[in-house]
Amino acid sequence: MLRLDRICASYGRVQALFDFSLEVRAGEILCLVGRNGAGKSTVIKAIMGLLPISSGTIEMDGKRISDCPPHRIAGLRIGLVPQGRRLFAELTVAENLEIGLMVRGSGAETREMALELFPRLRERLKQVAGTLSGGEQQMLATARALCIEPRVILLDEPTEGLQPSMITQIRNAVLQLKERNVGILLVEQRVDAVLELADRVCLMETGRNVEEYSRREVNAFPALLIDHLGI
Amino acid sequence: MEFGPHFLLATLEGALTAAVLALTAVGLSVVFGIMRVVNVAHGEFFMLGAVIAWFVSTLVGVHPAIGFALALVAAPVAVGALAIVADRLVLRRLNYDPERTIVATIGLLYCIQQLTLMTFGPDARPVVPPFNQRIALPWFEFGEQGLQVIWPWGFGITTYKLAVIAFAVIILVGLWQFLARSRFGLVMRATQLDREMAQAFGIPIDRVYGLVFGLGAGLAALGAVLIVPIRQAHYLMGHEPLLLSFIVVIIGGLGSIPGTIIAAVLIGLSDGIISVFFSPTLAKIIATLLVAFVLVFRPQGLFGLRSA
Repeated sequence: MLRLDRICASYGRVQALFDFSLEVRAGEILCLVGRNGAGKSTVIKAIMGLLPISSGTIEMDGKRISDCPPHRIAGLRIGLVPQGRRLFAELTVAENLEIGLMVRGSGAETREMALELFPRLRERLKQVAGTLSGGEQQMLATARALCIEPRVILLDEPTEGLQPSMITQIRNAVLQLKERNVGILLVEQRVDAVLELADRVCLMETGRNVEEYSRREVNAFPALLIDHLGI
Repeated sequence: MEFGPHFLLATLEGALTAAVLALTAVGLSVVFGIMRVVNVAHGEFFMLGAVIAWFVSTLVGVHPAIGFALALVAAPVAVGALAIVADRLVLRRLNYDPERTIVATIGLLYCIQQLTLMTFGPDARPVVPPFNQRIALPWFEFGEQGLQVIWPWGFGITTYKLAVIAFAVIILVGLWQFLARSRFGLVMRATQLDREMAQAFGIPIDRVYGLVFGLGAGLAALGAVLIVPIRQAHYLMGHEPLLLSFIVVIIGGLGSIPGTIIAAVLIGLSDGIISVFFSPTLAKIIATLLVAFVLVFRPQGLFGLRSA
């Protein structure tokens, strides 16, 4: 579905990704794991076209998308839930969702589907996004991405700084997306979440692939993960 | 004339300045707020609006009202289109880099100004207002027989000046509604808040920037068309609106449209009143001092948000 093949990318003169590869498949949760500064968020930026790659290819359904301008990527139904939420803080909840709906010209039905996953947002539609609690902001960031009816969704540390009840809601939403055959790339630092959700785990370090494990392998030997994260 | 009527007259003149200034400064504010581009050529877009208004009204020459009505549409559209071309050819190629675009718009300023001098000439040229009846204004005083209505000599305003104020208010309310309710307004606000996320959600920011630059220039041109029957078209007329617009945008808060409008009213009224009672130079000195105070004590402007 979404395939990165030996991509390299740099911030100015500093190279951040070195021949990095991964594949996200339909209905599967791929966890991208690495220490801080390993380049996880850079991978997501590169997929979204927000950081140009200098070599390698990014393909969606066999079609090369690494040459597409950034605003065309969302139209290919690749949804983004960025680190730190990055909502349009001065817009209302409804307006944030509207921005997501505009990508494919989707209507009320899609919005309802997103709100079904997060009913609390329905009560907050007219509230300015910046005034929501951290958990509600994360729900909105996820719902906004769902409004583009994604086939692949990129979730960058979606549970960062959330209380346990909120983490459960986000986890349930991720599992529902998996059931709907959405491909999920999950950047996660919490070992318990990775062990619970991941179908495959891709370990990265200093912008490079290190290892890839199946769900069975990481559950049998969680130390693989713990050692790598240095916890 | 006594102080009271004199003061009211000065306030009305100030309201006229404020109305045109608000239109011009909102154009500058929108461009800075959304594109983060400090458009030094904004005053030249204003000047071009006035020159095109003269050209159109002279060319049509049937009735001043028809020529003026055509200018009111043609000048903002033509100037807006020119700005979109300038955006494509210059700003986009610089990737909207804040520093390089300042230099580029300085270049644009001189290109527009000198081309206008070469074609339009150095003379100031008037545009006939579409209507210009004088309305005498009443004044109320408490005399021996209670409240009396008097008609002081020279106490009045023209219908055209009142129409300019009303028209500017209508345009600004319309613009506010457009930004708050329309789809493109939402796209503009989202782009202003987070350019990268806007792109990640399918917003073609290059196209948005082009249209915003055109809108900003069009608003300046509209302000110029409204004022040109009162102040004449001249190739150097862009300097003062540029300076005042920067003053207003800094005081109001960079990128804040309500702040810009309130600051325009404040600066316009004080400019009108101080100019009438003292001198126009003193009005500019006070406005510039006010900017200095704002930059020292509240750098984000009166209504701007403090950056983290």
